[in-house]
Amino acid sequence: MTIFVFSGLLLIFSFLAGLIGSLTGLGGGVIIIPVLVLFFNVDIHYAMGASLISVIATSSGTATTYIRDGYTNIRIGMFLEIAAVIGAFIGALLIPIFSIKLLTILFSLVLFLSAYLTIKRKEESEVYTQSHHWAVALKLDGTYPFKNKSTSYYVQNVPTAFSLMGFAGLLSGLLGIGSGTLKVLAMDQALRLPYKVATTTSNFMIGITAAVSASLYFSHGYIKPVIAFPVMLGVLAGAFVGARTISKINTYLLRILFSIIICLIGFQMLYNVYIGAA
Amino acid sequence: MGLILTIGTLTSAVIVLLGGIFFLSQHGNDPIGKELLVTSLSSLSVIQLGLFILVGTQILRVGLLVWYYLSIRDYTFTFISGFVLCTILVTFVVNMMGWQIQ
Repeated sequence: MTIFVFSGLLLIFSFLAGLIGSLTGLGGGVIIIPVLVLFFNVDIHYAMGASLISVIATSSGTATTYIRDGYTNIRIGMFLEIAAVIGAFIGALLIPIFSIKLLTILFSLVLFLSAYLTIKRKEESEVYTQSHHWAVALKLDGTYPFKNKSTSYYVQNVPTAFSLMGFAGLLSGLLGIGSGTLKVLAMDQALRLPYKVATTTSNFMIGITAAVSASLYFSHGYIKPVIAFPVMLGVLAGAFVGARTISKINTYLLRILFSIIICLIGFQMLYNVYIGAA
Repeated sequence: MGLILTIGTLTSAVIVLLGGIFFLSQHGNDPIGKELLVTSLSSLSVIQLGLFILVGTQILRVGLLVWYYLSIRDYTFTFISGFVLCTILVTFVVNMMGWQIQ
């Protein structure tokens, strides 16, 4: 195919990735990598570089809207980011050591677990009256727009979430993707945040975590402008559109969307390992 | 803060778009091949500049937060965001130095 066709197709896929990423708290990388590797036969390292750009673009595309609308909890985001960036820093250094096959299998298992846990939670039936003492000390609780009014929420299990976040950062550094999934999981399951707060705060955080890995990917030459350019533009556009529409979408639908997407990706990645392409 | 971030993101997007259009106008009809995975073409360098700015906007975002928390005298979060900022900057310096050595 010509470059023009390649760029055009990639742009469309990237728009979709950005759209879904903005609604699920993921970076779009979970769509970009399989598309590039399976559909376009791009080398996995360049796909990982493109995915990193996708993550940063999703984060940038959604940030202004979500912060302004009052969804993102910046304090929780920055606090958990400490664990995430340390993890990402270490993870990037470990790239030469780990086998991609092993990482891919590990990651797909994480995805299936996440899908199950995400659907299982029924946040409407939970009643919390206070936050974990760490959350109180750091003023992590907040409000978010729910049914057109500012609704407050509490924050639980902070240390667990912090550790999970370190692991999320590690995966981000190693695979170029994946931190979004674990971030949403940690905030949804451990901190017990409202789902849209978890996903939007994840969108906020993933860009920062990815920025840590970005310098390494640039210096190794894993980020190829040919591939990155349609990805970045498509994802930015898709993420922006998604951010504008999230308030109108029912939370449970978002949970289902998240779970379907990550299960699909999990299966794709296992298939990848099976046919030896990983 | 929101305005600065939007400007930064849009700037990077415009640069990448221009570089991309320039690139496609020159090579749009060439078939896909491994030789295109280079950055020596000037149009691809423009794209790369845009990508750097995109990443830079993220770093700027953290910097602005450090400033903000300092201004409201929340020293805990000034430290927290400062730590994150330092980690990012150190990573960049370390990796870019490695690049020079190559």
